[in-house]
Amino acid sequence: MFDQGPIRTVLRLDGVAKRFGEGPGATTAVIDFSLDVTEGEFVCILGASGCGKSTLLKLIANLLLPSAGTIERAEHVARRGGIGMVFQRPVLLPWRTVLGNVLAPAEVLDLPGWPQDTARELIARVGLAGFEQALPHQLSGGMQQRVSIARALLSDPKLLLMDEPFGALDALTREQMNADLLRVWSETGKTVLLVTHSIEEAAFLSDRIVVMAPRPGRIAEIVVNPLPRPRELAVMASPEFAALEGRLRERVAHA
Amino acid sequence: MRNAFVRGAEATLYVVALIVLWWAVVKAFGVSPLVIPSPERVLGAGITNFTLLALSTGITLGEALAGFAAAVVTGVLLAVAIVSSRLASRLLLPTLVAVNSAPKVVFAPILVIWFGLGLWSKVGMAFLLCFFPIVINAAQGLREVDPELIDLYRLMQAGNWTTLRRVRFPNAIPYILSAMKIALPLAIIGAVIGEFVAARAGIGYQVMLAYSNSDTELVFAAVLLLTIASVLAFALLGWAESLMLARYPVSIEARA
Repeated sequence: MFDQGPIRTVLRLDGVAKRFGEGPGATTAVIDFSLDVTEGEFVCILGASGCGKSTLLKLIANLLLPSAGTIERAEHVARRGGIGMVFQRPVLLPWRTVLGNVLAPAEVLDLPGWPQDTARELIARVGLAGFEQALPHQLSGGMQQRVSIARALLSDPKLLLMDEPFGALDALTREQMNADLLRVWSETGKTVLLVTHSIEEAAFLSDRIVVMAPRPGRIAEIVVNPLPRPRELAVMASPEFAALEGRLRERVAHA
Repeated sequence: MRNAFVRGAEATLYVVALIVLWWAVVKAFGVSPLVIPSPERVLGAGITNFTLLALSTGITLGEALAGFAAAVVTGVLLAVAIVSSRLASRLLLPTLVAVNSAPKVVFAPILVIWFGLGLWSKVGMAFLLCFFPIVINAAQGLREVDPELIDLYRLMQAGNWTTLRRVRFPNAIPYILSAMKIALPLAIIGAVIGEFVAARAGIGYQVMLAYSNSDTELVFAAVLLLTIASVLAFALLGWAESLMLARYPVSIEARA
């Protein structure tokens, strides 16, 4: 489907639109959205509430069908388990342990190797070693979200979709989660599409930032992130970071 | 541990106090034993007829439990059908509501006509009385699943059966257990009603027999024994529920 050259496109959206309802009561959530995402890239979709960011992720995940336009997914993304998803809330199975929750995809998908070992490894990677047998309600919100990230990674998806994953967490936990997410990302080489309404978060995490304009949701501008990698939390104190933030803030305000 | 002991002692004292009060009222006002027999007379009647009463209670509880078990199984299966198919939901729900709004006692003679004087008409009556809350609450539990959890399983292209087994059914377990706690006493009521209408055995039958012989002491003994047995069965169910719900963060209040 795609050119398999040195730069591989894993996802291509072309003129995608989504309308809900019909007739005069219909609302257009997303319109004329085109974007190519390259393998290993970290793309943030930045915008205020109500600009169709979550709809967009559901379209990419094939949970919704577009009203217009096309969405092409690379073969290894389109396969079962090729996409991992993290929501704003942890969305765990409350009756199962941390390990049981991380292993849940293995009961649905045919995963190669030893899912048990992979699950334990992932739990350690997101910083929850020792909590394998804990139940979700015994953990803090941030820890629960770490579980849901480990679960999303179990099937070794090529594309990770994150819908304001840290939006419900307090600012300090959020910064730590962002730093940890970057570490996991650089260790696993996933392609990540993360929706956020936090300018700071988008600037810290991304390779590119898609700034959205609201009603109907559409692309205002795609900003390439000039900050070097690897990034530590300290980068947020640099003048380059402030400059990028300023540019994004202005773009969001006039979107 | 100490707390449990204190609470147990409290409860025992309370029951003893009630019995003493009962005894005192009967003695003080000289109530006729035909209206309210004194505790020791009831105890006497209970001991004299213990084998008969125990056997009868066993029969009644057996009928109730059989109807209850059948109601749990068919109730959960019907709830699955209601949740899985719009057609089933459209056809079954109104039928269930109609049957439930009828005073179910009137079905007792019909059940006797169909299943005879023996056990089965009582099992049917127990089933009929306790079936409805199980269907309704199980359906609610199967339905009230976090929609994003369903999205997650759809993303993995999980089939309906997998989603039912892995998400919907475990989600419904607290609802089903809670409904069972409502349903068990109803099942016992159903079995006794069945015995009142027409029977050859069971505690309800013994109560009616003793009543027609003006043997108030035996009526009291039978009622007390059935009450104790019901309380024990209910406590056993509550204990089983708490074991099963250890993993669930919140408890569910079932709707009757």
